[in-house]
Amino acid sequence: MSVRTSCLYFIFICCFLLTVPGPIRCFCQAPSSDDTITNPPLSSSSLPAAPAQSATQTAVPAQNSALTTHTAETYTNLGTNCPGGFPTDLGVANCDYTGRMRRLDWVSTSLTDEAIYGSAFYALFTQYIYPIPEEWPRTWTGYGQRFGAHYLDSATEGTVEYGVAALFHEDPRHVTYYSDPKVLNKWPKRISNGNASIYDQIEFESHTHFWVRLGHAGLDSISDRVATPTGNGHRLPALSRAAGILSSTYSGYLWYPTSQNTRVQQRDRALLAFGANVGGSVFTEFGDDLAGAGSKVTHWAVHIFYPSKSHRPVWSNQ
Amino acid sequence: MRKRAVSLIVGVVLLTEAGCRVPNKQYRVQLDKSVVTIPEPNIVPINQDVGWVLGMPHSQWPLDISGASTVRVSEDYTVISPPLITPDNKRTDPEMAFIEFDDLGDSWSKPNQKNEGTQLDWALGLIRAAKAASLKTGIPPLVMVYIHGWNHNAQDTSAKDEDQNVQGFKRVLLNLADQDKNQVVIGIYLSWRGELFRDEWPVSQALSGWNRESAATRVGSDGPVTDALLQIAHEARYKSDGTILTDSSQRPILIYAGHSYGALILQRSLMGAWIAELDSRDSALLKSGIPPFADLTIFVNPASDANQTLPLLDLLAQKQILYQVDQPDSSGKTVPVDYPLFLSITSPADDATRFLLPIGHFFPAMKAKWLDTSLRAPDPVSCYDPLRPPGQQVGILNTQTEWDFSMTSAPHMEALQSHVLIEKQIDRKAKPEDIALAEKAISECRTRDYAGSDKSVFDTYALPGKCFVIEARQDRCNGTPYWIMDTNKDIIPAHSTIFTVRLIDLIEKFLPVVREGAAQLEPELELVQPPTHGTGVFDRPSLRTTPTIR
Repeated sequence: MSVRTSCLYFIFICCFLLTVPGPIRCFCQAPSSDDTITNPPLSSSSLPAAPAQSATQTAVPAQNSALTTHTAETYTNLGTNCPGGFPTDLGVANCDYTGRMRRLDWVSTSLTDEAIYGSAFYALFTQYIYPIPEEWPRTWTGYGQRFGAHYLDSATEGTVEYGVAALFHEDPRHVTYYSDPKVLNKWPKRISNGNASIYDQIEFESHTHFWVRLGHAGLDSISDRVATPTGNGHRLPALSRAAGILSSTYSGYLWYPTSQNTRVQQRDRALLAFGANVGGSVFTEFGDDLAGAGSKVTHWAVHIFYPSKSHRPVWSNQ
Repeated sequence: MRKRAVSLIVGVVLLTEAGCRVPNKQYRVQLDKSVVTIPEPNIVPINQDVGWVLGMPHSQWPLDISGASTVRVSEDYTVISPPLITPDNKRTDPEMAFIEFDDLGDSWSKPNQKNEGTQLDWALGLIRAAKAASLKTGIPPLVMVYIHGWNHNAQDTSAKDEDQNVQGFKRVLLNLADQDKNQVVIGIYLSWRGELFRDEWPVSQALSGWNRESAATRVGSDGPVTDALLQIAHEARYKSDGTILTDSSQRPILIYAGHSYGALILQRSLMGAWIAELDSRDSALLKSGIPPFADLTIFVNPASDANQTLPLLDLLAQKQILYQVDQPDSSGKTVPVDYPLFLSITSPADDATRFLLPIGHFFPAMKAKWLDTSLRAPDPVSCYDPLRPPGQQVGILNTQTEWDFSMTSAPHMEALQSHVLIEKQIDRKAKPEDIALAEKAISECRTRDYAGSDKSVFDTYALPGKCFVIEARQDRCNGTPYWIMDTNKDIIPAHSTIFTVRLIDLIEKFLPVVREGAAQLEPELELVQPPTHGTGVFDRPSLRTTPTIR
């Protein structure tokens, strides 16, 4: 496929986003109860109805006494606690994966700057470091072809994933081990100290279960959950992700040269897309730990270059 | 071909920039005119006494500012005030006002020739109505002003979901109102252009951090935000006849809160006013022991470097100002207890200020020429701790440079922390009876179980299965009413998760006026000794020997 065709495709998608008529948009988005959260006058009765406490608690087994210790805090019914959410968080009104959130995730990961910059870097990599396809020259034209092809790959994958997920009402977002409703429902049975909150217990356990968490990340890359208002939906195979990967693999027929459309090349493309999916799941699982480590490294690096005597208060009387 | 490719890339970038920016606009255009005015004797139109800039009524201002856009003179506005309290003395739901500022820090809503009320008028009208309501209830109203941070604004539901911060702030107000059914609660949401790119463009949004930090610095320094905050404070502190509202049962409890870059705006907008007020020997409010602007100013996860705290911190240390309440201790004896006027808190889980702020400040800071000095002698930073033995209460912090202050936010900097939050642990190797006692103490989590003779323990804070003790940091440099502390990820789990009951519960501990009944406690500002200026000599007075303001 030529640069011109790639560009036309890209511009078409941009125009689609900007001008797509309402009925089509409605068709594309999943049915959702909170898609139009209104802005009522400030009143507890007029705030968006929180499925919140009652809904969350009904989803939790009756023997889950430790989880209900949250309610001992000064809760109100103003916010809700999504599975794995922070106790007493008033900032969350709904745990559902709404049509608006679904559309935002689709656009922001597959069509806009994340996809554009990703394609730009990928094109650089495949032009100078690992040059594929060999038919495409290492010129501006070749760069445009590589950029366009990768962008179309990601746009196709994201669009198909979006459509299938909306169709089956999937919630394809990765969750961490300790945010997984199934894990949350299971943990309290193992807690011996009834005084401790589930949040504290889970936090404690988090330091000892690396392999369990890694396994959960693997599971989360091949399965997702049904979107529900409580965030407590059951797991199901990640059909949308599979469909997305397959569609981007085979749609490559349209824009890759012949050498890239062999079975081996298609397998490699599918594995690469699946690997990115697993990587995203692992990053979700261990992102906080990585950020903590990054913070320490940053402080260490900064003070290597610009050492100060001490961060502790050392004062003198002149 | 090369030209085409370059043109294409430039076109895409321009398309991104042009089409995806969040417009610089006012969101809350319509004031809620549907609420019918109920004439109350204490609800008066705004008059010329309202214009109040940098600590003084504008009638005393040395410059002619009558033409300035943000100071209104003798405008006979009729502000519609909603019924905050019903005829049968039942409180209605909390009310909320918006005050929006543009990208340059100027107010969107300005007086016009039709004499339509502005957003600020609406906010002041609410406070006025709340004061009138407190005459009936005898309970001071609670006025909370909140400035949002990065990637937020005052978005209503016209285009998409209401801004998450607006929703969170509403729920906080409702939570506060539910705690005391008789207390009127007012929320004022100060908004600026915190969101530059739409959510659909996450990379551009993430890269806009530097740009929005500059914008926040600009908005905070420009003047109108300061003006709005001071007018709100004036409305809360003064009667309509211009005299100070000394009756604490009527004087609204005023809280300023800022999050992330909103904290930066709050710091910059108030710093000059506070310095002017503290340097003034004629401050009527200071003389009467009333905090001039707010009862408590809170910076939650401030995305500002520690340099922003230094001028005020230095001044408070130099003047040895205390903010105290006389409270009975465990033995029933009345003792003065220190409280904060400023509270800057964060948590180790706030990666944005712990991890990203040093990265964001590293390269811009490399251009700067760093001096290890402070404006006020002695340099670099004055230390003051009233809890230290007499004769050792003042000193200097001699281990930090401006570079250090620039590379971290104040609550993450141990050298500036005034207090710490310590989780009480049980020593499992101790005797069984000691373990039982420790478990009992943790489950009850009472201050008197942990308070020592050194007065360092301020309070305790309980969570399910946990007990934290808030106490003065050992060997601290900062004993001023500008409290700076790192908390815990059980209280602040992330940079943006701040609208939680846990955090509200913690912050309420620092408010003397709502702790044990507002009418009983009257905190007072105290200046230990008049400072010496510019001599380089640092006096070392003993603690509270010659109070001049009490």
